[in-house]
Amino acid sequence: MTPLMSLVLSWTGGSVLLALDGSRRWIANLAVLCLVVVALLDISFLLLFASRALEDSTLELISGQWPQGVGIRLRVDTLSLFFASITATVLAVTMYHETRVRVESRSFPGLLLLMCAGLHGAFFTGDLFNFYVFFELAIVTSFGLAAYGYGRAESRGTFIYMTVNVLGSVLFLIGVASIYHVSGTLDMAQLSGITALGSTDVMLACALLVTALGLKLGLFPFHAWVPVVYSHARLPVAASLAGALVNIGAYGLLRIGWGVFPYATLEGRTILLILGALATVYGSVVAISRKNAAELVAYTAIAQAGYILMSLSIGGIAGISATLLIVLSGSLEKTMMFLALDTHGRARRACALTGAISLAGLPLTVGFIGKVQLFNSLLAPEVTPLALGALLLSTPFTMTAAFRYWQLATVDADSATPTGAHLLLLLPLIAVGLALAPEGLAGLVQRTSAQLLGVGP
Amino acid sequence: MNLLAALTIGVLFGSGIYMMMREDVAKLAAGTLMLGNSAILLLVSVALGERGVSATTVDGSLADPLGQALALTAVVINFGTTVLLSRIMVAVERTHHTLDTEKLMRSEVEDEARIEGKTGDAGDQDQ
Repeated sequence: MTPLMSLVLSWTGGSVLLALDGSRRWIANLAVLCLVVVALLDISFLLLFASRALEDSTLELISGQWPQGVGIRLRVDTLSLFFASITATVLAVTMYHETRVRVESRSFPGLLLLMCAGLHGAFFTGDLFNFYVFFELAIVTSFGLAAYGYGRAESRGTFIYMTVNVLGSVLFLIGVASIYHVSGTLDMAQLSGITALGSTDVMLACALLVTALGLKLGLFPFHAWVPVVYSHARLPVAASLAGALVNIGAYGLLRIGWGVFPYATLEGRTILLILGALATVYGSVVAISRKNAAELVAYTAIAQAGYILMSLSIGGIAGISATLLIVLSGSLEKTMMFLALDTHGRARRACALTGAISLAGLPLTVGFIGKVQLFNSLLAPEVTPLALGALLLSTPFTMTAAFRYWQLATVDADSATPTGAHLLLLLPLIAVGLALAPEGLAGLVQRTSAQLLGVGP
Repeated sequence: MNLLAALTIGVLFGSGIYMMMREDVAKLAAGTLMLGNSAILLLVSVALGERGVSATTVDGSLADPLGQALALTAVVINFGTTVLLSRIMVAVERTHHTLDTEKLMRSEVEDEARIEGKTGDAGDQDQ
């Protein structure tokens, strides 16, 4: 029983279910079961790895039993499992929500499972091009999901989404080709060991990779398509896009930035900081003016991506811990906020309220923990006051946007019959429960960042 | 060979960007296809015999198989994405009955105005 079981399970499950008719009840329930098993596997392995010593909390294996340097290396460590757990949980809840409400298309369960497989593969791989391949797998399944329904808005939104993504793929390929040409290897561990790389070559390739990730996932300043696509796609699809898929941006920036090319990241951190600061202020200010709740959540997603960029650029154990906590709270919040707009009754009120409070960063939610850690990391003396100023400036706007979302979400909360999606209440429970015992969570993320940076805890 | 590859990549990239700015959605899709092909050609050119780091150095002018494997993978991914893009183009044509980007933009604005108008009353309740 290895952590790679979750990858294998979601991949085979997705392929099998894609061949069947997913609009039938028992197949959709089977998909929920599969995703729940994957989530439980990831979380238990995360806790297991986090409790071991740093040296043997990494699983490495060369796929196909090829010799070292020839085969593709798979590498599972605490960072991979952290992101994989969040992704699997979000997708499991989204699939469950979909079975409660309705499943209209025969490919929805299979596509969601394949998105889970693609994301797990991207988190578990130790090869740069393999990361691209699994990333593309997840993104292509999200194309199919975004067009779910094939209505007017969905078709337009998906076309925009696909075009921007192809641009991002092209830039990513150019970046990977440059790195391969300069260094002769694609293995992440070998790349981080090559210190003889000229810094300008690596900087150019890293800039291309960061731009490509920004285009594909809607990070500032390539965010213009995000509100359009998130508001046009169906709400459970928007939940999976915002809660699960966008995490690969944070993972890519952490792994390729701080893990593989730390020197290039040190040189580029000022730009990331400025972009992050602009993103937070822009996203939270514009979010207040939105009248469509899904668009509002999309703009808060842009603002949250700004927080991630800011805390990433600070680096060190404090900054990366803040990034991980914001990723966790952001995913839970976005899933809650999008799914709340699609249900009715008690689940809607609970999810909307918890999502809004967590977004605002008020205590007793996991969003508060993330904001506190971000604030702590910004107080380091070598960090410019710009970042702290951006955080303080955007906080009142974020709080207002959260309140506005709560207004829009509860204005017709009980208008239809409750859909019986009671297990959606699990998400608010997780968000509050994690905040009631923050020491374990803080220890986990600090261990994970220490492992990524290769320093002792 | 290097110069020829570089020129072709440049021409493909430029044509792709040019096509993406045309007024037709089908031309936009063709432009993305050209852009993808330019990136794939770049991957192939990294593996060319004169410049690639060959895994089996028999006489030095052997092409690098890893770069070509990367290009093959990228071709397959690009192909899949293009097929899906064509399907979405068909869906856009069926729902809007046009492939003109101007008309699509106008219908986007109309839809957004309709949404704003619908929820405008609920948002102004407290005034």
